[in-house]
Formats: sequence, C-alpha cells, structure tokens
Amino acid sequence: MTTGKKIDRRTVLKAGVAALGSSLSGISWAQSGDTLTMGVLSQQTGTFAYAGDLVLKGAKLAIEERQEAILGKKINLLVRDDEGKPAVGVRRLTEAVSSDKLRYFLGNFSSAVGLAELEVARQEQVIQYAAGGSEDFTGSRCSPYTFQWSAHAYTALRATLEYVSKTLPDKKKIYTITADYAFGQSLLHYTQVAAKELGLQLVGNDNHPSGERQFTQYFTKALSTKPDIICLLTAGADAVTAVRQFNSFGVKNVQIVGPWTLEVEQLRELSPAMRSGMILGLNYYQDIDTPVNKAFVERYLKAYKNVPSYAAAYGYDATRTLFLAMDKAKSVEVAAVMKALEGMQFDSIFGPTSIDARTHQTVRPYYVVQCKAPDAMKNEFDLATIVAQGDKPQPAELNECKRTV
Amino acid sequence: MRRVTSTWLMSAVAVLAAVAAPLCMPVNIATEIAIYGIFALATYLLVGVAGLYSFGQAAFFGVGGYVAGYVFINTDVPLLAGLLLAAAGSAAAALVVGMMSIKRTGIYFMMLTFAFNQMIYYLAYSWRSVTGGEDGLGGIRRPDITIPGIGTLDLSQHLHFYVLAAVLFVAAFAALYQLMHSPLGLILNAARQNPRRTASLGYSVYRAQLLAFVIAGAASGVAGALFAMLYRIMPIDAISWTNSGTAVFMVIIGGMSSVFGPVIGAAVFIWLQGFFSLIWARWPLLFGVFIILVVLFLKGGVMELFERLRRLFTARASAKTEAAAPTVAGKEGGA
Repeated sequence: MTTGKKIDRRTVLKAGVAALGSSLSGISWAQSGDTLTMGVLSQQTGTFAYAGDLVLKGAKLAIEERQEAILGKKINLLVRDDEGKPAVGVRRLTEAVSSDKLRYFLGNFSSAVGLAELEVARQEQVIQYAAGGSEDFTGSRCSPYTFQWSAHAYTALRATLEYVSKTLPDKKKIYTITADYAFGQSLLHYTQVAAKELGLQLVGNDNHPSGERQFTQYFTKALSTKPDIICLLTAGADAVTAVRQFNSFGVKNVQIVGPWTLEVEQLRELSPAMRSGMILGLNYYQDIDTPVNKAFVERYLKAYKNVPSYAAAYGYDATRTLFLAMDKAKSVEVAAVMKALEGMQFDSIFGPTSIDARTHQTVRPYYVVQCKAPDAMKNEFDLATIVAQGDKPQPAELNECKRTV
Repeated sequence: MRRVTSTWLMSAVAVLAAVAAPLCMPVNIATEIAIYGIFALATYLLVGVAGLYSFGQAAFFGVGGYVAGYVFINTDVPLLAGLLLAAAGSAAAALVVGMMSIKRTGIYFMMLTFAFNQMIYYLAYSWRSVTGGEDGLGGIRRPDITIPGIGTLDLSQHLHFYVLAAVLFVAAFAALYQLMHSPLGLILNAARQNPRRTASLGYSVYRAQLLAFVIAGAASGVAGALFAMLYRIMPIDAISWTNSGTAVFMVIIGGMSSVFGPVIGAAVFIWLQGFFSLIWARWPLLFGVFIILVVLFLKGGVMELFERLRRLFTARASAKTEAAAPTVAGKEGGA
C-alpha cells in the first residue's frame, strides 16, 4: 500500500495524541472552589444568532461591572450555542452543568428552548433566568429554579391597549392577526382578556403560520370589517413583512398596534416612513429614565458603539439581578440565592422592581412607544418615544402555577 | 454456530465500548451517544442493509418519545411497559408509513418518508394537549427499575440512566448483528443488490422490507423514549426531518461497511458537534469541513480510517518482519 510507505506510524501516533490532547484542553472538566460558573446559552448560529450575541454583550457588561468576581469568587462565563433548538439547548445545558459545574444561566428568548431548559434546570438544580414570551414559565410550568425576566403577556397587553384606549377613545374595533404558535396564541388570549376589561371590541382574527410571506389576504379580510385598529400579534421577520405589506394598502385611518411585535432590531429594517406613528409594546427601550438604565446605556454605547435593545438589556439586567441576590444572600449557593430572589425588591434598569415569590415573575413595567416620524429623529438610534408604561400583574385567577411558598 | 459466536464476540466489543464510554466523557454525552447509537443502528438497518433511504426515522423517534412521555407523565406504568408501549406505537406508525412508502423505490421512497415525517411533525405541533406543541412535552418522569437479585436502578441518577441506555444499546446492537445474518437479513441484502432476482427466487421483497421498516421504527421509538426520559422533555424539534437527516448522516459518517459504522458515526457526530461548538461560535463551518473531508477522502466513513490505520500498521509490521528475516538468516549464516 502506497500510503503505508508515505506516512510514518510514529507520525500517526503523534498526531493522534496531539489531537486528543488539544480536544481535552478545550473542555474544562473541573474547576477550583473559588470560581463561580455562569452561562449564556443562546443562539450563536442561525437566523437569530444576532440576539444571542447581544445577550452575551449585556451579560459581559454586568460581569465587568463587578470586576469579574462576586463574593471573592472569580466569575467564569460560559457561552454555549443552543442553535435555537430545544433538543440542542437541553444537551448543551446538561453538558455544561456536569462538565463545567454551571450554576446560573440565561439565554435564548425562544420559549420553546427556554421551557425545555427549564426541565433540566429543575432536575440539575441550577438557576435559569429566562426571557421567553410564554406565560408558562411562571404559569403552568413554573419551577423553583426558573425566574422570568420579560414582562407577563397580560402586563404587556394591558399596558399597550390601555394606552390605546386612553389616547384614541374613538377607536374601539380591533382586528387581530396572530402568529399560529404558542407565543401568538398566548398574546391573543390576553388581548381578549384586556380588551374585555377596557371595553374594546374584537371584530375578528386571523392566524398565520410562522414564516408567512403573504399578508395581503389577511389585511383585505381585516379591512372588510372596517376596524379602527389592526393589532399584530406576531413577531420578528413576520411582523416586518406584515408592516411592509400593510403600507402598500395606503390606508390612513387604521392604527397599527403591535404589543410585543417589533423590537428595535426589526424596527430598523423598516424605513422611518413605514414605521412612523406605529404604537408598539416593548420590554425595553433605551430611553427608560432611571439611574441604573442611564448608566447602562452610557457604558453600552461606549463599549459597543450602539444602543442596547431587549436582548442586551436582558443579558445585563438578569445577570445584575443575580449578583444583587448573591449580595443579599451573602452566598453563591443556588439554594440561598433562590431564596434571596424570591420576593426581592431592588432597583433594576426599570427602577423599583420586585420578584414574585411564588411564580418567580419579575414584576416590572412594560413600555408603550410610538414610532417617530422621519424628521423628528435626532439620530439613527432615536426611533421612538416612550408614551406610557404599565405594570399591572396578571390576575391571580388566570395563573396556573401550582407552586406554593 | 459461527454466526452466534461472532454475535457474542461483537456484542462483547459493544459491551466494552459501553463500559469505557462514561469513563472517557461526561456521562450525559455517553448516554446520548448510546441513545443515538440505537437510532443510528435502526437507520442503518434500512439504509445500509435494506437499501431503503428513509428520511422519516425522526417521525418514529418522535412517536416513541411522545408515547413514553405521555404515559410517564399521566400514568404510573412501570418503565418496561412504557418502553414497550413506545416501541409498539412507533412500530404501528412505521407499519402504516411503510405500507404506503415501500412500494416506491429510490428518490420516491425518500420523498414519501420525508413527507410522512413532516405530516407527523405538524400533527405533533398542532396537537398541543398531548404533545405540548411548540413548547414540548415537559415533566417526564424516569420510573425506577427493579432487577430481581441485583437491586433497583434509581434512574434519576445520570449514571444509572446511562446503564439502562447502554444495556438497550448493546441489546439493539446484538439484535441487529444477529438479524443481518438471519434469513431476513440475507433477503434484505440480496434485495438491496438485485430486487428482481431476489423476487424471482420466491422471496417477497416487499414483506421483508416492510418487516425491516417496522423493526427499525420500533427501535427508533425506543431511542426516542430514552431521549425524552434523558432530558425529561420531548422537544418538538426531535421529531423534525432534520433529526432524520442526522441519523442518516451518522450512518454515512460512520460508514456502511459494518454494523460498527453507525455507532462510530453517532459517537463522532455528537461528540464532535459539542467539541466544535466549544472552540468557535461559528462552529458549523468546522463541522462542514469535517463532513467534506470524510466524504471526499473516506468514502467508507470513519470506519475506513480505522481500516486504513489497521492496514498501515500491518504493512509496517510485515515490512519489519520481512526486513528482519534476512538479517537473522545472515546472522545464522555467519555463525
């Protein structure tokens, strides 16, 4: 055999040993007692990789703020790619817990990934600070080890629709266009609840599949019911497509409202004229007027030459909250920190914030913004104005969490 | 008689590998390799033995996962009963899909299995009350298992759960090896190479292939059930066609020349993905390069690498013997 003569056996052996050695060095199999391992498990590859990167940027700022140590322990921040897939998320999390002694993590704000990781967090007894949109985190799937950073869907819908009903009292008829998956259906449910409370009328709904390319048929049907408001209960690229296509209709008297629909990153994909006047609900906007947020935005701008958005704010604020709980508990042990988090009252980027001891929902405001007209923008980051905020918690009778504290 | 002995020998190798695995890597990775090993073996039975390029195995993996998940959440059935139910559910699904797909061959068979996979995926996606829909079926328990005379396996412990997965993996390995050399295996092999001639000998190719399809479906279902129990959740993406593709990839990466191929493929695939994702955020690029290298230079998969190494070492050894022989002769001559 010719290859047999070309390759020396010793070379093969050496290469094998070198490869094995280098592979082992890539994985830290154990760590010393003076290190605390935290993790960002998010999408680093694929369509939403940008969001994973932002969560990481935020978390890094919170860790730098503490000089990379807490209570005398050096913080080791792990980054793992969950590829936006629940099965991969649980695999990476389990690996990180068993190989790297991971104790605290945050990451993907896809509910499907987050809820899958919730099961592992419960089993492995590590703390998850989640940011999915699903109410199940603090509802039917509530767990002692999972805390939810995003506002509750009820809080979001209530805040958004309350603003609409106050400022546009003549606009009562709402048509909803809903993403046909758990997130969209959950928003639809709370639109119905909030609309009933506020005396608004729902005149129709269409469900659209994820990745919808064509929204015109929904708008044609919606406009035939002569609605005052079209409420987009969808997200991401679908919402961008929907707004673009709605603009081509040239309808002037119908208000577009998007609770939890478009984050800053997607807003930038629309031309200023297209987004002008839209009323949106946001978990975070850079203009929140609190000392913690102002300092955060300033540091973020300096570090990354950009303003923070939902993902970055989540990365920063959730990590910072965990540190505050460790301070309070005077410990980095999971059980002690969990206890400290339950019912904790503190100043977050949202100002005075608390954590519900039973459901683990972060009780914080949700923001309503109105997008600026092109000539009102002061700079490229100045997309909208915060016009209202609301923090009405989910009515207790609608919560499905079985935990008792 | 020789076949049975060799089954024992092969199984012993599988047992050794199963024992060594948790010593070399985190136990959960070893468990997942055992689970995907079963899944890859099932796929190998279709792709490598029967020549049926099924891109729908994730559907049966999923059915097994959901059946086991559902019964372990809502009932108190013991472990083995749950696993049997999962296998039966997947076998039933495979029977239906197989009856409708096997009559077509080649690309048409592939497309049919793919289409059935997508249908079952969307069924699981919309049947939220049973499957948990997009959010997955969470809170799956792992019932303990009592082995008379030995004791109880507390499956909540990772190592104990690994033992269960490893035992089932070795059983699947031995069963597949035995099956490959059984009359059914020989018919499948013959039908892969020449279906017309096989049929003309009086064998029902359709029935043999359908039986293989059902067996592979049941084994995939057991793998799915173990997967759901491992992470205590059955996520929806485990049933998607990409998971079917993963199984086929494992078989191709490992190599189709022997029953070890899919197992090596599963191990390399799972371990390497984890390893690459640790060293670089854009790791799919590295993984892609690896796959290209395997396809271009190791047409027989990673198994061929082992084969080449073996040949290299034997060549060196025989060269040495040849080189040494005249010297000895010379010495003798000189003495």
